[in-house]
Amino acid sequence: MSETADYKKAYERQKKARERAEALLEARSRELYEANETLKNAYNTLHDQKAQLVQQEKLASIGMLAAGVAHEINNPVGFVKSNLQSLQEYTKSYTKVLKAYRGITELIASKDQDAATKQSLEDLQQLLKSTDLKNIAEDGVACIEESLSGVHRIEEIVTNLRDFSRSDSDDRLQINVNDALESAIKLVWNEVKYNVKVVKEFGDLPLVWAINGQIVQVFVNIIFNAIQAMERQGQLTIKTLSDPYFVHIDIIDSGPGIEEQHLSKLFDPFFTTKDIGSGTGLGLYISHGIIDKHKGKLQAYNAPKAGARFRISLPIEARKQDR
Amino acid sequence: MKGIIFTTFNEMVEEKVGIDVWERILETVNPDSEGIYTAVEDFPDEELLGMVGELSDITGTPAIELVRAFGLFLFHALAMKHSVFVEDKSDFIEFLKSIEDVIHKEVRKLYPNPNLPSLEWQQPAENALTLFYKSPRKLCHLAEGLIKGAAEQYGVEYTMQHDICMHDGSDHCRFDISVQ
Repeated sequence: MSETADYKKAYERQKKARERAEALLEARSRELYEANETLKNAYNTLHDQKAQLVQQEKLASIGMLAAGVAHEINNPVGFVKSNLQSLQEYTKSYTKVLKAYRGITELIASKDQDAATKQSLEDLQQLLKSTDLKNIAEDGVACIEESLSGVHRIEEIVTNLRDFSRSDSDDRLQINVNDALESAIKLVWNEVKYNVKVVKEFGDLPLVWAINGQIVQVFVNIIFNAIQAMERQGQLTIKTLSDPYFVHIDIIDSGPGIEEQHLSKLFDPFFTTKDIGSGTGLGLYISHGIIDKHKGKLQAYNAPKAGARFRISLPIEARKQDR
Repeated sequence: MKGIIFTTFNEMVEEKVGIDVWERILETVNPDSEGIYTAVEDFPDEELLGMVGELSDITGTPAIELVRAFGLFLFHALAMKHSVFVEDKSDFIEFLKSIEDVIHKEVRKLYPNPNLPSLEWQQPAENALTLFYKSPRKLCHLAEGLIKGAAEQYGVEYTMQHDICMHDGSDHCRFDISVQ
């Protein structure tokens, strides 16, 4: 066989080898593409499930808060109702007095007035004495003021609850962390108002970019845990402060603290020290996820003089696009 | 442009006019790639156009004719390599209709940015198809050859009019195809 023919054969072999390598590469690329698609789908499913989990946990918190919130609403409803009943009585009295005045003015306008007018004036004086108009006028204004403030309280509670229960969009806004804390405290107020002393030490804070509903959710979770740990009596200290990079929120209770062996598991899903049925075991796990998404930190410690301290740190520079 | 176009062009030149012509073309065009082509890489369009031009000079065949002939050769090469796309479609028209949604879709899976032409279609009658070709490369004559190859593959006779053309300033080419 000639040398040229040998080269030709070798050339053909090399060409085939190249083609086989190319085909292998294409097959691998296709497999990689398909594996990547599967991964992408799995990631999207997980992402959706996590969003659902956050919402479910929120609904579970609402379940736990419901009795307290109902009580918080019921109280102003009670006094608004009583004030309305008083105002109803007062209105009857006003009507009577006005009617008497109208009678007298009609008599004065008529020609034959003497005896009848005298009698009506006497009746009016009697009526004025018995109805205590001065007191009615003063109390009526107070009733209205108190009722308005009661209605305002209800409105606030309902608004907080509605904002809290709403499924959050992913839109971040510049929020004031102190305001978010106030909203959370109002939501759990019925749990703390009698036996828990709430000490607020709020610093002047820069605004942070955050999803307000989710941050309130984290605060409600941690405050609610603290109240449960203290068995609803003691002191809850809430401090806010900032450094050049972070806004920090400390929530400190005067309960028994966190057992050492639990510290590392606190943020695990389904970890709970509560009785069955009183917690989902997802609150801190989800709170941790929310703060993580905000590029912040959520840490738990035991405070030096017993009790637990949760520190939430939110970055000041996290802008809208940092998701 | 995808490397498979270059490797197939190499094959066609070797098969039709010989390896020495291929070597001459590479010597004259002197491409940056040094003629080392693999199907899975991308290479500059200019290299192919330069080689077609050179082949036209050597053979005395007009470049458009060469591009058309290459389209025909390319179709048969691709059909052999990726026979599944041909086997999947029962006839010529169904195959042409599947280029955009099936074949190009598969190509995109392998290559994230393949710069494929767009090939929309309308079917005015059962045995007719109008294709609308759009590509910044304006390789409509290559498309003509590819279509001819597909007709050969399915063993059909057809007529085709190419009255609207990107080379005449239109933003697309229109191929009116009728199967006999």
